Amino acid sequence: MQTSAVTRDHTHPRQALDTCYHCGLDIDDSTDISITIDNEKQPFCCQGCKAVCELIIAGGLDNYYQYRTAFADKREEPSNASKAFDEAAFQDTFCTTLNPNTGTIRARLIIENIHCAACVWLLESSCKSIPGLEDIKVNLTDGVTTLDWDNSATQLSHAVQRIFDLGYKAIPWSPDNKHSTQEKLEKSLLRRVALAGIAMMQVGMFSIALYAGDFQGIESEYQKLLYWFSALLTTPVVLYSAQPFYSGAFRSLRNGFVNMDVPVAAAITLAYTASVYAVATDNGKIYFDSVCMFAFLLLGVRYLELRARRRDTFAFANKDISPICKLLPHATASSHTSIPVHSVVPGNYIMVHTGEAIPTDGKLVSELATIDESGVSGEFLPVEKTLGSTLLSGTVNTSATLVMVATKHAKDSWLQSVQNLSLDAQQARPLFLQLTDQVARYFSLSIIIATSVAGLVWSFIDPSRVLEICISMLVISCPCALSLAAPTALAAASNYLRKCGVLICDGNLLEKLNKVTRICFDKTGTLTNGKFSLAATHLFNEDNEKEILSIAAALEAWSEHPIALAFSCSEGKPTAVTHASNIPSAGVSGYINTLEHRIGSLDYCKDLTHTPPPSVDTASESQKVWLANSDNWLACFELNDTARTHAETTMQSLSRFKPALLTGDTKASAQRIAMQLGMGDYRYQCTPSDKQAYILDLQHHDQTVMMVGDGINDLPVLAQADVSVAINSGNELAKNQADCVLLRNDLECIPLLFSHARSTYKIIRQNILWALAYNFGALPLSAIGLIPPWIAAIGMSLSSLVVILNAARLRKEL
Amino acid sequence: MPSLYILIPIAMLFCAIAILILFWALDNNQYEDLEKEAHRILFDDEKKPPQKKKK
Repeated sequence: MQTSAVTRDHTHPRQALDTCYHCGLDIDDSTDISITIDNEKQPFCCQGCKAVCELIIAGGLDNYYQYRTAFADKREEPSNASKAFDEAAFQDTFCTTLNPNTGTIRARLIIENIHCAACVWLLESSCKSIPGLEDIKVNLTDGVTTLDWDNSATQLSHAVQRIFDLGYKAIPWSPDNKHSTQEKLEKSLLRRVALAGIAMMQVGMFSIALYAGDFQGIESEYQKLLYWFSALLTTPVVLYSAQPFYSGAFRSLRNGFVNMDVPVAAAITLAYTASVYAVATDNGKIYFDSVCMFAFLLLGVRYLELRARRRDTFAFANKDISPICKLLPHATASSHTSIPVHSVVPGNYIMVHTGEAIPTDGKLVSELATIDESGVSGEFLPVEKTLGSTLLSGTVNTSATLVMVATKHAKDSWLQSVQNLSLDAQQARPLFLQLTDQVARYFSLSIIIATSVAGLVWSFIDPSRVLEICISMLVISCPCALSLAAPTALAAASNYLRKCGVLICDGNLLEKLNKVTRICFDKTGTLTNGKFSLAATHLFNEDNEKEILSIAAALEAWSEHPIALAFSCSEGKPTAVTHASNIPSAGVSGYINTLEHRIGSLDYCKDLTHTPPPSVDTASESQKVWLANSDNWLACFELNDTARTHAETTMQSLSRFKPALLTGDTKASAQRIAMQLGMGDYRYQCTPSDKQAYILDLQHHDQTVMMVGDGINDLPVLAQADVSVAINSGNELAKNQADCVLLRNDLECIPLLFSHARSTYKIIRQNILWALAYNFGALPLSAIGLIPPWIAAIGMSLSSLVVILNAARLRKEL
Repeated sequence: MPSLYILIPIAMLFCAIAILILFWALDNNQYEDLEKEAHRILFDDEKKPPQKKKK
């Protein structure tokens, strides 16, 4: 049983009164959303979670709540992205046709935010009820999902929409080379382990008979029979199962060093040929059982290590699918064709829907558009563009569908240039060498030397025992405990961190973290939420604040401007609005109880009241929204990009790293956030390369820098920093680039990362110490002939087991 | 003890069969997801029509 240190207990969802039934987050006092399940009123934090729960119960799948072992994620805002999954050009990148006659197509997806077996069951059961969907298999470990559907009966978007509706996120996935190599490697290793295991058991049975024969006497005819069959069984183990050791040893010798495969390969071939020779000539000792056991244990350890490593790296080896954009034959065409972004040429007309990213640099052809450039500048307020304005690739269209004309190839676009910058920085990064690898390397060499010396000495004392001694020494001192010391600890730690909401993408991250001396943060979207929220409300009359907010929310419901979203979260009895109208870049007006109300800019409201507004004391750079009716001024709302929850406490606990703020935003807003969070150091109006230069400067002063960011403009700086952390709500490119991702956008995970990195380091050190102590203790004992090979094989595996068990402690909270 | 000449080859045959079955299972992705299968037995797998509120 594990408990996690973060705000949510993810392993044991138990309902507290004031947490959401679906996602387990705290519920705001002002909201009152609930449904009755099994005669019990269950609360929800938002309409999204309630909708998911209703869908689950309507499908008769309420077992999910009974069996799950972790809370679901809070449902994201509904998305219409699923439609894109039906584009043929898009499907080509991740789908294969299974049967052209029946129209069955298989799609490969990765479903993010799968927590436990109940999630898998929920997804599979719910999707299977879609007619035309033939099969769905969801992998609990890495979220890889295969979906077979009949294209004539249904469309992929139905299934994808269902996945979204259930509160999960599906992204198309095509296994890249690295992934399929690893999959193949894992499968072939399991084959080898299985063969060695079965052979080991059978040879072990023969050995028992032979040992019994040693005591009770055995006819030599039958003894020979058992020997020959043992040899027969051991042969495939030596030739097939142990093959990775030979190729590993060969590779390392060719490169001029000795790795741990060398003594292993030597021990196996030596013991096997000696035994075969002994059987054939009827003279000497037989080690078939030791050979099989040694090969099986070592391969088993390797397999476990491979599996432990795979878990965390996997889900991230994707997302490189070439995006699709909508090409128009001419500027006013109504139909479009989908083409991959890389084949766009300057002069092409491209259509960009609401919420889609601009594929390549270009000029606006539509009259008007608003563009979210927060990824470029850090400025979160959308920018208005008019006919002919330049559009940068990677920025997002927040207005209605726009048409643009490309001016550059995708490979020359701004987005690509930033990516190139980050690629250069990444290559210039110093390579991090793992200590244990080097130790194991020298260690293997010294074993070979020690064994040869002992063999030489024994050839003078007792030539008949040379072989036995050498094999024992090679087996018992096999440095696999040493080479397992770090990987197992790192794998266990990253498993634990994943449960807490941190996805580790770089295997060296935890070791590097211990060296970090400075931390830099991006502002918009990293320290702040990156969107408007209500910072302050100034009431002008003796009104109830809740009532005023509900009036504001009811009016703003008619607007799609990002400002309006700040009001939408206030729940309660909706206020009825009639004759509402939305005036762009002014505000919304509407009648409430036959009285005209307006919300919006100062001038717009002034036209209604005809009196100057009461004076209010507001922060200079915050966005002001006024509310008035035809009689009176009612309120002034201050809207701002607010700091994330826990940002302040996080800064306090990280104060020893002197956190610095790097933003492309204005001085005023940088200053406000820096003051609020108590950060002494801040840089404003930084370009991507300014940020990179700042980090480089720190690094020149012998600082090891960690960077936390989220946007496209953070790509170069994330690559330059020694350790990079991305926020899950950020840009996909930034997430792919980073060493780790904060899955729940929770800054509090950063101190947790540091504390866990320290305990991991401690465990690794213990493991190395133990492995060295074991090897140096056992080597002399076997050199003086006290340890037969079969005990050596057991001792070797026990020492590895100790290392693995010690590492497993990291899975629990320390 | 001459029965050993028959019994041991039979045991070897069993070994070979076990290995072949294991390889077959591996090739059919039976070992893809070891975690999910452990939990699957806990769930009712038969498809029920939407239930009307009852325990």
